[in-house]
Amino acid sequence: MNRRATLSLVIAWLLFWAMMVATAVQDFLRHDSGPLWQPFLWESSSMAVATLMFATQRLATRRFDGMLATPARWFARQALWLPVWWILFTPLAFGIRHAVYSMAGMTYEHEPWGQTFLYENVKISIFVVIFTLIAFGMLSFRAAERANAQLRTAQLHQLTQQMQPHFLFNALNTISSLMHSDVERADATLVQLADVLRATLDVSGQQQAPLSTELRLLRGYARLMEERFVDRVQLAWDIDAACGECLVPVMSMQPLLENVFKHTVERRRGVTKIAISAKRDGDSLLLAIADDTGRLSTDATDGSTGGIGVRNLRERLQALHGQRAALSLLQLEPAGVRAEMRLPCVS
Amino acid sequence: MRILIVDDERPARDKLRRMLAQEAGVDAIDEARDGVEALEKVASFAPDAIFLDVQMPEVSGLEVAASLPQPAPLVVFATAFDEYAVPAFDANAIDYLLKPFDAVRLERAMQRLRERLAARAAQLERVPGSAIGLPLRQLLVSERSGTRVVPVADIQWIETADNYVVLHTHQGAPLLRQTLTDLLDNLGGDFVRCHRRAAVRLAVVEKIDQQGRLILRNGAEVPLGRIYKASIVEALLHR
Repeated sequence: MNRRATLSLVIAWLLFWAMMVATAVQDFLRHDSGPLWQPFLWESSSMAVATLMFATQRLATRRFDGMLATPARWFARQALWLPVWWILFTPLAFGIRHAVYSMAGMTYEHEPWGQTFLYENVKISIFVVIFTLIAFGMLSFRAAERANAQLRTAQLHQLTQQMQPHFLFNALNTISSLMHSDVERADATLVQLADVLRATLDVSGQQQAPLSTELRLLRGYARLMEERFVDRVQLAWDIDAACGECLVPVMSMQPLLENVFKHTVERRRGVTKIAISAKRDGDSLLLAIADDTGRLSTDATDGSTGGIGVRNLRERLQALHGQRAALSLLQLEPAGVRAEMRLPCVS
Repeated sequence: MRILIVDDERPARDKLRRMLAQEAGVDAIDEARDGVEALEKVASFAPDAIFLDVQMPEVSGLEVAASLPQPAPLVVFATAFDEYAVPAFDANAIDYLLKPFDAVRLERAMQRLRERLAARAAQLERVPGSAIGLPLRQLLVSERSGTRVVPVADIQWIETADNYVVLHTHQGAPLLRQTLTDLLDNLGGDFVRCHRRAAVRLAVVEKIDQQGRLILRNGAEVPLGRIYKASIVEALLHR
């Protein structure tokens, strides 16, 4: 979290404490008599214990931040802490009060322990729920910000790929060549190049799009590359029409197909066959791009490494779906590489 | 003029073929889809000039240019421009074309080719010089059984044999139809001349023994000329 957000949170927390103290002091003036430090002590001891326990809870549960994409699971993790509050909060807060009172040579009087526990735990439960909700909101906002940054990184990466002279000028040269032999095809290829570039320059910030939209872009890119490598690549599409409405992260398939061209088609003299498939598997969508000749570099299977494109895609999947999405690169035998993406299908 | 087009993308070959067909003085055009095929076509088709793409699978255009047998056909690079292009253009090529190019630009390259070929026919000049210190990973050698790829890193030492140079590697000693001087220009500083007709990879020299023989790590003995001895010793000291 950035400094400004942390500072706001701390100030809000202190003001909340000030509000509680102010309320207690007024209540005290109206109904009780004696030194004013008493209501101050009551609220401050509660607040100190709550701060401590919240900090502990946050530290212990921050490793589950990945579950923000699945709120039910995230809240379930937080709920496990409620019994801790019930058991510890009252003894700690009231322990402080008793200690301070005895130091002042006084006795702290309150309801019998049974009633006190019940009353305090009802109050603290509501309080915990409120602040857990606030924490959820702030963390979700931060996750969304991060996802946006990752999307921009993906776009920027894609843009650099497409602005590489090797891609752009060879694509233009293909069009220049087709113009003399087949005007319609030259025109179509030009439009495909424009579509590919336009998708990269998209500024809507939309994280996801229907699979049908993503596939339309992918087909544009594929046709463009098929024209360039017309005698060296064969593409086969196997798309289950029932998946068209499923949402997929924008620009998730193109980097995978780009990898096949960059690492296999362009580096091999023979013909490369590429199979692109999309099918439903229960509640999930299975997208795969496989070639029949590629070799996976030894470190690419490791989740932490791989090219920038793959790494970025993994991060985006994690941010959008947590554990419910996965991207794997597999070495096929005797040859070939299969990139497989599993996503929850929200249609 | 006989012209060989080397490009791994068919539309690029189609375009160049169509444009060249309209040029005056072009007698025959052939195509190759990659570096290995290019070397085979150089042998069988005997082109006067090659239009050579730089980024191609397995063997780059730069490596093809460095492996051309002497007398080498003239080279025009046709490329989308990559990081190695500039040194290659500077040193090795008659001209270069940046894709996509138009007929005017091609005409300039053709004009230069015609001039060079005329000069060569009149024996007015030597074949254009070679690239210096290009990032070459491999050389292509035409053999009776086909084209052999020789990784530059495997070459231990080189000697001349008539019109050829012998590339001594662990896996044999293929012959490349080039002059030692041209080849050394291409390979850069890893190799040092140790004899009028030999050069050695400095990194694999074991010692110069008491009889003044140059011995390699693998036990091979390489001719050492008297006038080269001092410079070899100097180079070994600074290795």
